[in-house]
Amino acid sequence: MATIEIGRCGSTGVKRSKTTSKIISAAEAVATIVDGSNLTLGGFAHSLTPIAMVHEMIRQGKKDIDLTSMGECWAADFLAGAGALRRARLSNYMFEGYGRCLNFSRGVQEGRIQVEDYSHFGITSRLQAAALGVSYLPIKVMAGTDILNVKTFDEDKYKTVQCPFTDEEYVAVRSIQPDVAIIHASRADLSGNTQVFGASSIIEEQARAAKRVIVSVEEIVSSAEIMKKPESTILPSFMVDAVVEVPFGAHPGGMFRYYNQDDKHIGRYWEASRTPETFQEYLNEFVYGVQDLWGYLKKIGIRQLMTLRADPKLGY
Amino acid sequence: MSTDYRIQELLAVEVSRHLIDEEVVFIGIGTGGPAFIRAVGIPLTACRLAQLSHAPNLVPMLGPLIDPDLDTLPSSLRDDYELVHWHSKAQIPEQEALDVFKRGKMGVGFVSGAQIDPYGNLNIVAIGDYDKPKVRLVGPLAQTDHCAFAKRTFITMEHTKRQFVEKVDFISGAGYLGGPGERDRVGLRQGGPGLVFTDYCVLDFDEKTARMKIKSLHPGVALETVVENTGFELIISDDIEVTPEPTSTQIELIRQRIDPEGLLLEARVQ
Repeated sequence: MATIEIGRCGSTGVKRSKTTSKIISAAEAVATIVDGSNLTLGGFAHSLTPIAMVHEMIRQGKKDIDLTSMGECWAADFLAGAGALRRARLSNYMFEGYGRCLNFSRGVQEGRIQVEDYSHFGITSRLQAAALGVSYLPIKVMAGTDILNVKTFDEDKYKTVQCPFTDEEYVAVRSIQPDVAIIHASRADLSGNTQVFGASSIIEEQARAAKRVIVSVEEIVSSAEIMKKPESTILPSFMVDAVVEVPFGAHPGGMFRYYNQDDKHIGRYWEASRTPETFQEYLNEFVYGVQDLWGYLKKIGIRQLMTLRADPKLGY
Repeated sequence: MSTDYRIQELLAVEVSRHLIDEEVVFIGIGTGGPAFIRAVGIPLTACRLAQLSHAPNLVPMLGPLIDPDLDTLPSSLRDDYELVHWHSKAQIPEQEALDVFKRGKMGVGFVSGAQIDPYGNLNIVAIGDYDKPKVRLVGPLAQTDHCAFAKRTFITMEHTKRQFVEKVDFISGAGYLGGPGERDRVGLRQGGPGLVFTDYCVLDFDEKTARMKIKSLHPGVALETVVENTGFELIISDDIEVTPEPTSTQIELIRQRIDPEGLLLEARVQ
């Protein structure tokens, strides 16, 4: 490891030699996130969730986190259950296959978490505006709905604008630039060229929108290996500030071509999230009760992990 | 005519009759239980029925997945992650899926909700006060986007006074908003709710008032039952039809070929 300094190459003026590695540990990466940060976490529901990074955030006692994502409700629910979530701008709070996100819903119902709803397209447009480097984007959706009518914490989230060419009216949504994007991906090389196999949700937009990008991956591979499959690279190295290696880092979610999702454990999480007490027990056992990812994986057990592991010869 | 059918089979057959060949049909996924049967099970069965009869080139879209092979269902349809293995024509990033809507390429968007009002406005955000709701729900998802961009939405609902209300607590999906011309006023130039499917009846919307109207009653359902279970005044015309019963061939197709394991219409998990 050559440096733990995080800062986008070019934007910070920090010179890097070609061999500089961006690899740091999960604990080091999470330590750079200050309380009250506005984060965007990659993934949709049970897919591509950076669970290992979320665990580490909870272990480090992060507080007052703002989340600005589209579908990343599992992270929202985890952080809500650990008392770390302050405000959320998402479009999806469905715990897939089960129903509502219970920790999150309880936090909103009890007035502990402020929420600002968006449609998928509404929130991605705010992120996309930041990714494109423009201060707003004109869109059509959400017009006429209470998503725009109710007052929320971002008072300036939208205005109505007229097209300078056709006079047509649009909803203009303001760009939003999260402080940090945490993206879980399949693999990366030392300098951060990041690849994802399978559906990628909106993680490209999230990374392009954020001020800093931390990528967690299933495995670190050589640049030569990355170059064999350039079509899978979703983030080139200059978009990535730090790389964290976390095998099984999405468990109990699955990672296409690495391991299947652990349905039993997902069910266990959801059952635990029914009450604050049972969720605290869950956190005590699987997050606070272990030192790091390795401790967590030991708790899950080699036998279970091997059962979930993908077998390329069998197709899966 | 078959006499032995379940309500979800009748609904799948009825929905399929209204699907048009070559149209793109969007189905959202992620729920479980009875909500799954309404949001995914019935729409997907209807798509396959339509493909096997009058609409061979119908294009179903499930989240980022386009035109999957409906003869080989994945082990679970309750979870986006499972779809990554499904044989399909394309898997596109979410942003591009949303672009498909924007370009007006979507024919039918299937939607559902915890509340619906006489103008077809939907709520899946919160019951009660927004800031401190009685029940916080799943959020707008892409439903707001379907309601804005689809040529028409097909709404599948549980039919009680709790769901069919005079005024929804939060409009997360635009129906006809406050009445005729309202969509146009806010810049939604096309689309709007097409049909509503419940366990009692099929409803559509009156052209003059944009209010909900009974189109057909399912066999054996009394008009009073629908009225009693609706929390607002429905338009009742004198040409209410009876929803056709499924034929034995259609029932056989559903049970033998489309959904032999009950993954769709019974929300079973393999």
